[in-house]
Amino acid sequence: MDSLTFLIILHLIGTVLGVGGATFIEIFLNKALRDGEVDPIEGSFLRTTFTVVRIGLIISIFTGFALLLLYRFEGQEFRFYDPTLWAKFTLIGVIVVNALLLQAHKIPIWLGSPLSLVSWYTVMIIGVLLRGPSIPYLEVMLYYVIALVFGGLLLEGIRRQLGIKPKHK
Amino acid sequence: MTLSLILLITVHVFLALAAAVFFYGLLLKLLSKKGASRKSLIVYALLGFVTSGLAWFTGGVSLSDYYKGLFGFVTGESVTALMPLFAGARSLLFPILMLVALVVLITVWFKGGEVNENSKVKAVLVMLVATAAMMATVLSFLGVLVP
Repeated sequence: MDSLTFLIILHLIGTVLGVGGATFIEIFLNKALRDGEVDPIEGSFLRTTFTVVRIGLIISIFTGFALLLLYRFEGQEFRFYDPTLWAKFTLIGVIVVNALLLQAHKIPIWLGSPLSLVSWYTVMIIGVLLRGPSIPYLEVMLYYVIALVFGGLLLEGIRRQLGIKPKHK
Repeated sequence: MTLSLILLITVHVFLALAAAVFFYGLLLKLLSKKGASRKSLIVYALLGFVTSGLAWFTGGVSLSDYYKGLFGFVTGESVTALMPLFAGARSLLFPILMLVALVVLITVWFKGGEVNENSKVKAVLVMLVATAAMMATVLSFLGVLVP
């Protein structure tokens, strides 16, 4: 197994943890809020899942940087100019800032959680698209915003169906 | 490019990245509504300070020729033209990061126990740590993207 394959596998593991964790945060949160509040056991599940997402993010970031270094060492610097890659960096920044805002309770959970979820899925998809032709940065961000709107509406629809009324600050 | 140079660059970039992660972790602890223990704040601040220092040392002492472009690299014309600016940014950011990391460590050491009650101390620490996290992140990127 060459180093590129090894790093991609590790990077995928980080992505899986992040995407899977973000998905289950949404599931656990909606489950917990059905009775209007998050009890200690439900809170414990959520905290564990948040930890898994953070571990996934750290693995993804370190292996991502390792991949960038590998590209530099193998003379593939042209990849650094790919606008799709920079869109991926932007969305990772969104995930990081969103996590900080959620921690500081500066963003309501009903907004921060779908933002995290859609961002993680978009990052995963961009990771696949990086293997193909380059996509302009603004085009990727436009698709992301559209996905955010649709994702937010879909999650809101699911919450209404479950009878969940999110608390607004 | 020799194996030792590859290893040094990798260690240098990963140390800067580790510093960013530790400052980010410290920021999460400071922003937590539950509060954070003085001990955990000191641990994160110390780790951030040490990794920043080691990143500076490996970059400045061991890799100064590499980052001055003496080992050759392939970049676009626009990037090559901006090389002196990027090299200058790196040489300026590292000492500033070390200074901020040191201030954070000292503040956390003496005032870490007051963070949960004193909003002013908390606000100052949050700003300093956020600044350190951003600088460490930028340096990580510069270490990879700019030879």
